[in-house]
Amino acid sequence: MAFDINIKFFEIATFSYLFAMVFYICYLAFKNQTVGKIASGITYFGLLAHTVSIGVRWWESYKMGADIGHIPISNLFESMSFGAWTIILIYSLVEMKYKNRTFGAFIMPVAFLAMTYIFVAPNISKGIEPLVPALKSYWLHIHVITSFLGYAAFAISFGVSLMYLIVNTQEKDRVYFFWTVCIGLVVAVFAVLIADAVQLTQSVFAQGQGKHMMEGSFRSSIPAVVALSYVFLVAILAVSWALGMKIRDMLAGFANTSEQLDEVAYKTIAIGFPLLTVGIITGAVWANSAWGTYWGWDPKETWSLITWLIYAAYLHARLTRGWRGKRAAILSIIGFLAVIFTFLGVNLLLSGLHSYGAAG
Amino acid sequence: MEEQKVTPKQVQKPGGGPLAAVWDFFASVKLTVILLIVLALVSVIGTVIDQTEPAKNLQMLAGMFGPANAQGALEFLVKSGLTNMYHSWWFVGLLSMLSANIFVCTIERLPRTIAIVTIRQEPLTDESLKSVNMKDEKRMKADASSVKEKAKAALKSMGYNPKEAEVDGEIHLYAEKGKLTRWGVYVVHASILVVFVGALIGSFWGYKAYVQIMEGQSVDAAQLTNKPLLRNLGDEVPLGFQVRCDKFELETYASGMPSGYYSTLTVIDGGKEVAHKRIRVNDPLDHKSIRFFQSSYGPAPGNAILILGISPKQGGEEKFIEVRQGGTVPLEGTPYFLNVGQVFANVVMGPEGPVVEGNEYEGSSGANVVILDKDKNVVETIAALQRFPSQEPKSVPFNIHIGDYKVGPGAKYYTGLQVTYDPGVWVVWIGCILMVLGILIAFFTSHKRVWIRIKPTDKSASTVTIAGSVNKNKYSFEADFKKLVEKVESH
Ligand code: HEM
Repeated sequence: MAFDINIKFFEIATFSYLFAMVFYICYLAFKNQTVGKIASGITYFGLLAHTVSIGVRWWESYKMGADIGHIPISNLFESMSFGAWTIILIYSLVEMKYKNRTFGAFIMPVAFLAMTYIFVAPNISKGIEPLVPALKSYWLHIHVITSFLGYAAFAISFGVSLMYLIVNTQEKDRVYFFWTVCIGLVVAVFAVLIADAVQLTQSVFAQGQGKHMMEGSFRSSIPAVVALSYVFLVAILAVSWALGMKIRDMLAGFANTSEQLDEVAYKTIAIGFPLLTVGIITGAVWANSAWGTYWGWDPKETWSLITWLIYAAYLHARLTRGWRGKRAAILSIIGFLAVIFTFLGVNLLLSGLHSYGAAG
Repeated sequence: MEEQKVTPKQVQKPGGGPLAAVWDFFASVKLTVILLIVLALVSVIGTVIDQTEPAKNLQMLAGMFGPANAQGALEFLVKSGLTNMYHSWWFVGLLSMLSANIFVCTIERLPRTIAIVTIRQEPLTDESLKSVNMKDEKRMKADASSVKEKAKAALKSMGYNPKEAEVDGEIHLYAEKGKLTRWGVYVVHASILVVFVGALIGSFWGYKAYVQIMEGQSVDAAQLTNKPLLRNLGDEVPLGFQVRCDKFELETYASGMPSGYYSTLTVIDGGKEVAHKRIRVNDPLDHKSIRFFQSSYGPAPGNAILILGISPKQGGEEKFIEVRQGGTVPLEGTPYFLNVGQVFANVVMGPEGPVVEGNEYEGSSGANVVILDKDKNVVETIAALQRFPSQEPKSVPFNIHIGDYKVGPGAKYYTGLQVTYDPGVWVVWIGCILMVLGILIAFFTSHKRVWIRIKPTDKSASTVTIAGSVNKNKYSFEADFKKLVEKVESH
């Protein structure tokens, strides 16, 4: 491939996030400031490489032909890469503002796993492709950018809320059950995505038919594979449940920040909500100008509305019913699970009209 | 951290009876949270059950309940409105409840907000000092009037416009800003109602339709593709004027993939040519608020040429034959004939089989191929596809596949136009703009009040009390307040 300098920088960024993740986890484990500073340094370096990757890709698309050139957020690879970039960007800003590195261990895995997945998945094309005519619109770009900024803010609120629940755990109660299951689910989903990508090199995707997620695991045609997948899921959940207290002990030293965690979770949602609102509205403007309907209830649209409703519920519960702490954190986590579904589930599990997000 | 509980304020309503009970029911923010979550949950159903075409759910239902029960299950879904969920009475009912909820809450809270906004700020008293968010007191070695000048300058530099008063020999400065931001929340809530009103206008008086125009021909009506509340599906809607397609053009990238397609349309209204435009995807023609979108295209009947690949079922070499759309050719080695019916330029594989995508080009064609016996009676019809496996014919020992698809030189096209009319769309946009403005105001601005009291203790010293209150965003106000204190108390 001639136009793959952007991929090289993408790889550098991905590995940086991996190393940063390791350092952030070590930072939590050993509470050593130097380790934390190294982690931040690697993150900024990765962010820089990532920025270069996106910029170069943009430039390369114009080099391929003036009519091909476009801002690189048009297919699944580009939009996921952009999503990871915004997460890291907002995280870096939060880290600088609140001078707190504890969330890094929660944010880095999200970015790293998302980038690894789009890199290895065989059904996700990494090439620069011409845009189909309907996607040539500025509204669409504003729509994608604002939505992703919103989702990135929610990702941070998710990480922070999860951390809030963990450090405020005293015993193995229902809340403990909730967050260990959440961690287990997130780990399992990403493990399955990667397993999918590795296994399914040709069989299902090559014929252009199977575009569904999990066909290499939970939706496999081989019963043994399906059975194994469930065993694996239960095992991951069990491990997460068993190790929960260990995770808490690791984080316990930061317990004095729990009020700040609550505040950061709210603040990031207060930033994400207006962005998502603008995202949904500009999406509607785009749909109206491209198809003549501003709202078509297609699965992707509907899931972004579901997300919006959950966060609206969060804001009302918090601002008018005084929800704080654990209950608010749980709602914020549920909101982000809906974001993940909007993003991955709708593209890969349900089928929709949104070709820019569709795999392939 | 302790979980805080804020007791909701009880508004005591005089009287009682069922009306008051309904009112109270809708006056609760708890109901809001429940409604928002219920709406989110039921919306999920509509993303799992296909809402575009009920029959698309058959396969999923067969998987869940067995093939024998799938049809029955589908009928149940259709009856309960689950295949057209977002327009079902109960979904609309939930939205109506949300609207009532917003309306009642707004009315309930209005008097309090009006009171806050109209009340005049008073100088600080020992009593009111107890209820402020922040305060600071300091003895300063300066006389009251010079402290006052400094305080005034500090307030002005921070964007306040202070009022002055003297009470019992004390000098008072007090100011507020952002009073009107208290209306932000109302703007947000009103905007939701505005959007709903716009959507209602659209569903009563708007429509969506589709029309195909051959190059050189014109139409004066289109076929409805959705069901507006006042019309029936499939009805012809008269446009009230004529639209002619003068020319259709297809542009391709170097790779052969289409990069754009254009139709040159002319509107003839009252016998006169009143509008003329070359439209393309995203860039419609608009006449009397009726918009014509470029949505699909294809060769006019008889203009497509299919190259069919014919391969023996038991294996062997594939042979290619050319058939013009509408034409009939003998199928070598059998007594049968092939006839090519409709040809589609953009077929994708849906979960239940091939579907024609109206809007997006996929570079993959499909056609209905009819197998005829020697008397030209129809034996069967199969879907022959280019990119995907074709349907297998039962009557002949061959598999039929589309090898390629081309349009003969000088061929005519038809242009497929989506016709939309929505008189409510501007109301929706106004609602959206209000919503964004309202949310920005509600989240990022606040009503700030500050007071400064200067009590002269002797000729060259005074006690300064600075107090501040804010209705939200306490943290950023705290920083502002500290700055103010520093400015006033600095030497
Ligand atoms: C999807 C619909 C809704 C959205 C997007 C929405 C949005 C908002 C926003 C942005 C705020 C501002 C929070 C702040 O003070 O910073 C708010 C506050 C509020 N909302 Fe809603 N809202 C919705 C529905 C409702 C409904 C149905 C009610 C009905 C009772 C309601 C009652 C309230 C109340 C009482 C407040 C607090 C106002 C205050 O702080 O004085 N909301 N809402």
